Amino acid sequence: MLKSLSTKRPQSLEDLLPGELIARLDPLDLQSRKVFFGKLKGERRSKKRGESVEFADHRPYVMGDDIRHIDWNIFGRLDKLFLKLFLEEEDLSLHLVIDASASSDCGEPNKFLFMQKAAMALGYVGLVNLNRVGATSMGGWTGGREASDGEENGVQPSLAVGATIRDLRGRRRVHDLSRWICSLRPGGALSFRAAAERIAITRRGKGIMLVFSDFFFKEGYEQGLRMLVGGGYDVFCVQVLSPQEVDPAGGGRGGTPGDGIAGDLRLKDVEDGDTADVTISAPLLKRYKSNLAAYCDQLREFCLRRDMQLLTVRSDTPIETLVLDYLRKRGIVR
Amino acid sequence: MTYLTPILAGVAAAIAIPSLIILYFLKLRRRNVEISTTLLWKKAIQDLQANAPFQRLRRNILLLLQLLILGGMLFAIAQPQISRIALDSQRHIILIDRSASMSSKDEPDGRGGFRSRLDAAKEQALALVASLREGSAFATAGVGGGDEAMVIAFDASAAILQNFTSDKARLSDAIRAIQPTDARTSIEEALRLVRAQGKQRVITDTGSNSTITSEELFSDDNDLALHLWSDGRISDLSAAKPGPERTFEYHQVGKAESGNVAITSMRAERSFDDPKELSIFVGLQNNEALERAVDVELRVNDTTAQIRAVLVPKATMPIQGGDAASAASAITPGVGGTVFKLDRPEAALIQVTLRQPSSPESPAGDVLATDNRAWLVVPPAKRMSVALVSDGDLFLESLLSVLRLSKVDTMTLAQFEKLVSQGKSTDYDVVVLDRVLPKVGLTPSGLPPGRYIVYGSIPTGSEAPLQTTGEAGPQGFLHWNREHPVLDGADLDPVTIASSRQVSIAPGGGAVTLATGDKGPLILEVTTPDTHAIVTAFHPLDSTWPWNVSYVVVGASMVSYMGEGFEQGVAARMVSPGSVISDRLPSDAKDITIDLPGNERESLALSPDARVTFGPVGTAGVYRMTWDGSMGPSDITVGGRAARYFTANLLDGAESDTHAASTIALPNKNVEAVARTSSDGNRPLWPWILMGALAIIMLEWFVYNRKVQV
Repeated sequence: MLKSLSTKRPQSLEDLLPGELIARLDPLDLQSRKVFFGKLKGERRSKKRGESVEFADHRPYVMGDDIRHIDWNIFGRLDKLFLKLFLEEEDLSLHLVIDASASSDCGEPNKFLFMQKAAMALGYVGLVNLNRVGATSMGGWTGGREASDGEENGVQPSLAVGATIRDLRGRRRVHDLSRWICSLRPGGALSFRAAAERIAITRRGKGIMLVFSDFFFKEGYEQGLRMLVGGGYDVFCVQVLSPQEVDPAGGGRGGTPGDGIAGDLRLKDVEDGDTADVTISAPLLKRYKSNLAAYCDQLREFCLRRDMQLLTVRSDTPIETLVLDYLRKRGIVR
Repeated sequence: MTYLTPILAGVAAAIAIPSLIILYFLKLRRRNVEISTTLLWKKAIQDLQANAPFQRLRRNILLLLQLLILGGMLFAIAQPQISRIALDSQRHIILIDRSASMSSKDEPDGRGGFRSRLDAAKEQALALVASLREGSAFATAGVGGGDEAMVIAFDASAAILQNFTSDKARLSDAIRAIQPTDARTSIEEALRLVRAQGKQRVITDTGSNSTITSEELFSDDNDLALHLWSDGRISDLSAAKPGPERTFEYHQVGKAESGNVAITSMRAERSFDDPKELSIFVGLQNNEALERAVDVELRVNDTTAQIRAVLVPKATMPIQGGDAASAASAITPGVGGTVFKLDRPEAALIQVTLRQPSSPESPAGDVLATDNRAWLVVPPAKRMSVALVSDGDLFLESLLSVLRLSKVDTMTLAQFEKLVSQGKSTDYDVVVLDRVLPKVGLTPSGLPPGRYIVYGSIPTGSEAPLQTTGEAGPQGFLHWNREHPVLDGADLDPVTIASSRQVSIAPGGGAVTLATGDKGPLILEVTTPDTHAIVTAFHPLDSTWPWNVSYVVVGASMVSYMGEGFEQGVAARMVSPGSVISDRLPSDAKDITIDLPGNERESLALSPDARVTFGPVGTAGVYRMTWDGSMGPSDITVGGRAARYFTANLLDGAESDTHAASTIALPNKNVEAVARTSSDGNRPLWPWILMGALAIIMLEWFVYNRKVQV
């Protein structure tokens, strides 16, 4: 919850994915409940029947069909000509959407850092499995590595889509993805609806979309998510919360008592500057937690109704646990 | 519980409490904290604010604690006090009896033993002082002041030890400084001091033709309480005049049934026939209902001479019934005594002590030790030498011949004047001047130094105490001092005087009239620093006196009286505690000191008339006066200095009767003793309240820190 005082930004792939984690990610592959067409024949089964080595079905021969696929065994039995149909191998697009607004740059461990690591992990899986990987940041500073001092340079953070990288495929593009992720600088406010609309308009193809955000949007998350779903992507929402957001009184910056919020406070929203005067008390905390639980439940229900999946995770969750446990259980990776 | 400043506390509360509440909600300082979103917090706040309007107030423990702190401090401003001892008045007079009977040890000391009545009285008086209401911390002149008290200690006399003050430390110090004495009890002077604290009346003379008006100054509107601590053994209560006090509280100390055996009288006497034989008469008193057997030890010059076993009869108790005051006074102590006979021609310091039978310890159960000892200074046995300066007087010569004198030398005036010139006139104990007066070696008294009996001549001089204005003519005796040793037992009525001198006493004193006729003094006693004389304003041969038996009686008495010197026997050296030692020393006495019974020494100064005074004597015992210079006839030498001994003895049956009285009889009322327990008295609560407020402050800080760590 509390704005991070100073977060060490990742500078390279090693900062995002340690070597041992990379070794554990190599065997993984992405999968989707929906199988989509891809332009290139990739290592992905598709529902579209096409040319492949795997028999799928028969249909009667009609004039003009390729006679190489006639199933002569059936002709021998039935004296009728049938054509073999094969499953066509398709490639899978993976689109990573990262909330780079100021609210992501909060918490201990930093939520944005978590999102970066999670996005890198999944992007790595997609790249090594020859999936087409793309990523978009919502909000945040643009302009490269020096964007963190954008205000001093007179540059305003983006309210919608910040930066985008597309069409990455293969292991050799892993470092490109990591450089892009490391260049992201969170900050500023975010219009989720506008960002989602922009993403929906500009994305190409179909595939899996992983949205990393806390989904604390004052304008609401509904319109934005509807736009993302409508684009034909298998949308998987990862709601990242800091331990302080989950338990404001218990989670300190350093995890020690006394560092959490307490007493008479003026809470200031880092995105819009909105303030709220509070006197931290047990009833207030109880009410906050109740509201948080209700908000998350509403979000989950909204996602389920629209055939989206939602995973709520704390920023202190190990990336390994996120990918190998949580995402695997939900069928995102296998 | 009382409050010294309740109004001030109320005003402060009316201002402070609303201010705190307002300040709490208006000026709440908040810490700025940046968070990811206020989305959920605002919703939580809105949910809470949907409840009752005073929920914040009701559930805010910090505000409650701060209100408690503020309430405590306001309560402390009111200065509440808990009074263990109820005090009605604002001004108090503390009278404490410090006489001999107050040294009786019959008050429990809380450790299984006994302490003196005076110690108990002081402790109770200190408790009263502690219960005095303190003035408000916000007191100004005349408003909000506390109780005041003064301390008076009395025995035979009274002394103000501390004037009216509200300073408890001073009052306590004055009480603690009270020391016991061996004096008897008299409350008259103490009550006189008390009356002086009452209303004062000022009489203003407004002019010759105006009426005298009076203006009364009210000291404190008669808000005066008198507290008396005593055992009630006060002999002059019935003569005590009521004072201005509104209340009179008598605090009894001591037990009504305390037993005491005492020496109540003691005198020494030498046999007339054999002056070497000395008799010591000792009177004893027992105030218990049981016979008491005691040993009476006689010590002569610190050496035990005799021990006599004596059985002192029991006291006579009153018949059951009647009030306590009359019962206490109706107890008649049993009296007894003994006589010691010694063959002692020399002077001696006699000490008599009461002991348990066959034991050196004091009599068992005896609560007062002061009256278990008594002292006497006995002058040496001596037959006097008399010089008769006369041209021949058969009656005088016959009178002197029958007295047991060492020698009687008859001489002419010229021979006597020669002796005076040679400084040998004082070799005689008494010089009888028969119708003659020496003219040499005169002192201001009109006589040379020495002791004289002067018949028919009046010694005069420019500074002489006596003056004569001529003949008085015939007269008879009208009045004489029957208490005087010279005239004790004499009947002068039948004496007729044919001619006498008119004598007047000069202003300035030095002479007293012993017998008076219808025309003036007839027998006088002259006392000057160097001369002591009995003077008759007539010659016996000019009267019928020689044919009256009183001539011999008075003559022998005069010789005996004059021959014993200035000290006039044993009685002159004995005083009672509370009185003053006063005596004449030789006029050349220098560096005069007096050694007290407690081995202390004080210096004394000789007055112009060669008199020294010391006192009042507080303790019974032996007092030794020493000086550099010539000695008196019965003085001795100690360490190369002249020395003279005095003794102070209680010898008071009333004071030795140690039955404490539960009621004292004032002239206008009987006052019962009040029960008073030692306690802390007035206890101000504000220090404890402030401590409580401090504790709540600590708790509030703790709760605040806990809240910020919830």
